[in-house]
Amino acid sequence: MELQGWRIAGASAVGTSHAKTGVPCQDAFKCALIHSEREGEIALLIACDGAGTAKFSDVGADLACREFASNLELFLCDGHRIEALTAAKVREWLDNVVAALNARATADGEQLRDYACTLLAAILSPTHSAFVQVGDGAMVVRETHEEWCYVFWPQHGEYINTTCFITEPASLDKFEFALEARPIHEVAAFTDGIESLVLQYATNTVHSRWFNQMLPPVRALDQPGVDEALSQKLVTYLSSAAVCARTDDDKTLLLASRIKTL
Amino acid sequence: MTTDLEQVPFNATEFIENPENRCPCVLVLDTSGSMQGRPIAELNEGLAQFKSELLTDEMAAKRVEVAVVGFGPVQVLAPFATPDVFVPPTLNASGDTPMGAALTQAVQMVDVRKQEYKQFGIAYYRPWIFLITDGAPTDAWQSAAATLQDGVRQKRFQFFAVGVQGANMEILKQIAPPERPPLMLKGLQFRELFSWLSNSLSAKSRSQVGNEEAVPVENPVSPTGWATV
Repeated sequence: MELQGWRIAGASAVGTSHAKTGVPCQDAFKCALIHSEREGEIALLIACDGAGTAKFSDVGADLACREFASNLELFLCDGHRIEALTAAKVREWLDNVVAALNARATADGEQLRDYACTLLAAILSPTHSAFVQVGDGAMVVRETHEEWCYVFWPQHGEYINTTCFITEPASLDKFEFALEARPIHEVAAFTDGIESLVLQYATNTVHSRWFNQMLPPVRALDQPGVDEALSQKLVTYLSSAAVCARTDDDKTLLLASRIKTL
Repeated sequence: MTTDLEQVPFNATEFIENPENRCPCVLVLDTSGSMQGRPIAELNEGLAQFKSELLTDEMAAKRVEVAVVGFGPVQVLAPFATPDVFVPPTLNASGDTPMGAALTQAVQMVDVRKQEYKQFGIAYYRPWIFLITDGAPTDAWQSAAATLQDGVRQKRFQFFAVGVQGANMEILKQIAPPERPPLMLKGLQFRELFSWLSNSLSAKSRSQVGNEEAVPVENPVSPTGWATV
């Protein structure tokens, strides 16, 4: 396997049910390559799914992405390494995200719960990989030539339409965090809108073939970094009839690879 | 001793052919003698229309599952089925009103269905139990009501009660959980009721909510709605 710099594509697309009722896309995401003096390139993927039942969850999801990213940037600016990340530190970041949402809610004269959203984050350094999750959706990583595995199974309650949001104190207590002392070369993150396309609930497995087909265009990108043109194609794909026949919810898909040839 | 084979119902194919999430709803329908004539005819038409409306929604057609329990006497008139295979039974009005036993039957069906979903790895939504009656129970309904309210509190299912003209609303109020009191159908607006139910189930079958719950449903108690309090 030959490696290269991180290539990333990411997109959100409004669900057909939202388009019908004029509700905006309530998913938000942020992809970035951050240069760390001590570690080199660090890829960051964040996706937030705003609650359908919350009035301003589109605003909440966007703000949560940006706030989480800036917490990581500050951490790296202070000279910390990804391997020094702990659950306690991540909890601090999540509390900061909630504080930012709270401040926004207060400024708007609204309730915190009106900004409810989930949060998925993958932080990938050349030597370490960290993952954070509150709620549903999932992150998956390539484990072998053929096989993809999930990092955390989506957090649903007994019922498939119930999940956890960062705005609920009890949900925040159940956040998932994993730090692995190994590099990950390919990763994808997605919100619950496409869960049923790419996860098999019956067997708790990932639809590996689907991801195997999605990654080659990312690997083939000329330049490292987040590619706008390919991201735009991803929007088109996520809005296509083939995808919309299977889900009418908002959907976000982030793809990142540092594999040149498998 | 029972074997696994005996416990597994032979319905694996429906879940293999359609692994979509399921949104189950049991209709508990009063088919006692007092429903005879126009009420039972309108209810039958409403039920047929319910199926066709669910079918117009691509997602609901794969996800909503309808079962029907009739009472007078208690019988399962239709087992759980998605709208494409659901056959609306033709209801005949006769007999007394064993509402308590019918509700107990509905609660059991919901529990069994959940076990089947789990067994086949099918994700599901909180079931709905939907009662329509024009009378008063003729059996011992108190313990059924207690079980029902327990289930609602434990979020095992949601319960809706609708009284048709002539229904004993006082008893329905004791059966229904206090946070969702029974509604009174305006006239014989069964079609409007089933339209609302189809819309609500369609919305539910694609919803995502937090622990706070509450899938927004259109308020049926409005000047244009089908119900009064």
